Amino acid sequence: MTKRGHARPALSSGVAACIALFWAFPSALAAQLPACRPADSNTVAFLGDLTYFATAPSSNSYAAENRALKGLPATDSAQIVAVSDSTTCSQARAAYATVLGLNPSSVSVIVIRIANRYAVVDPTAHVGEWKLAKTFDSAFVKVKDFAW
Amino acid sequence: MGPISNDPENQSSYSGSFTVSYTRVSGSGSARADKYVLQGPEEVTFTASISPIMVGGVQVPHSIRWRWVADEAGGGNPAQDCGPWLVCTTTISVSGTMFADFVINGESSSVPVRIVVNHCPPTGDPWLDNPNFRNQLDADMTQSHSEASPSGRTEVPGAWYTNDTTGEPLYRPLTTISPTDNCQNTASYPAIPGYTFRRATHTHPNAIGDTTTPCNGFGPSGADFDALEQLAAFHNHPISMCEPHTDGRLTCHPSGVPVDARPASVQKYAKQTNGCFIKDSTP
Repeated sequence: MTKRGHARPALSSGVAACIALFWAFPSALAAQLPACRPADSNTVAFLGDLTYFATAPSSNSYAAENRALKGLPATDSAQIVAVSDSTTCSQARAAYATVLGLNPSSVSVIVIRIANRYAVVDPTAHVGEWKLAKTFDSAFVKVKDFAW
Repeated sequence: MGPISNDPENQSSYSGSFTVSYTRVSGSGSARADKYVLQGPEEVTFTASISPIMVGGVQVPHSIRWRWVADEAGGGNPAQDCGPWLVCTTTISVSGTMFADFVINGESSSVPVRIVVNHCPPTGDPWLDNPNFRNQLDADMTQSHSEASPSGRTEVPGAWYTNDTTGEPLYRPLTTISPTDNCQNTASYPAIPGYTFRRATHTHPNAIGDTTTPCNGFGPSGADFDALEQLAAFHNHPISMCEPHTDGRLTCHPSGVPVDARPASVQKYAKQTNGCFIKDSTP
């Protein structure tokens, strides 16, 4: 993200106070965002998709190509869970936000652990009809970008 | 002989005129088939009708002749099996158009009935076994400009309906939300009176693995699934959606699938060099 400078005209103290309040308000809201979103239909869908792709046999070319595109290992369903512990959530959110050039406190993510990988998405981060997702390794180094 | 009557009536003369106007009865003809997409040589029954058939208890004079125009050579002339009657049953073996040529109360008109013959092995999907559907996917993908840089590509949407009376398929091109958004298609699938919305389509013009755009993977997207559920709920019946990809592969999926079973509901097809699709039945 780039910041653009703007010449600021003189303001009355009342207007300036309103603007200061407006600026402060989103920050206050953002600070309340949890690192991981409460589980909802997006969580179920993301988990369902990744489970299908990660557990499908190699003969399933559709799933195999999706695994490669998404940087997912082939594994069994017992190795796939929605993450909710705060430490991992914070790490995942920070990694995801950094890749997108965002302030971590401004996003709230879904984190799915697939064996030794983490798939992370903020379902509100869209490109067209697609949601922007990332796959990280266990050290939260980005492995793949993918659209979901 | 008595006196001559001197009644006023006998001393009057009468004159006048009257006008008769008439409007020529104008009729119209229509025609339909009992099937519009054939999976090889098949018998087809064409039925014509005329409206109005009677006016004031008198039949409207009419005649009909069936005329076949094939898309390609071969297949003979199915119309020669048809007499000058409103119903014609004949065998069709190549794609073409059967015209019902009417003369109704002296006025000529012609109604086409388009029949297409699928020469590809059947996939089991009635839409994919329709050459018009496959050709439209190709046309949509051409319009998507997948060969261009990402900013020049477009997801091209379309919608397929069936006529509630005849069952004839109907395609409606739809408007993209943004002609330069290569990751998003239309948000609006119109209802058409007399038709039932059956299948939504849209292209995915980004090459799978193209790292210059984020929406480069296999469809459908999560939003595709969500949109399909909303469409089915709005139209109150199941609808399916198909997305052709740049490498010739096609993904199709039905509505009514739980979110955690969505990927498994996707049916994959691979396009062959002859334009036919084969089902990828791998688990």
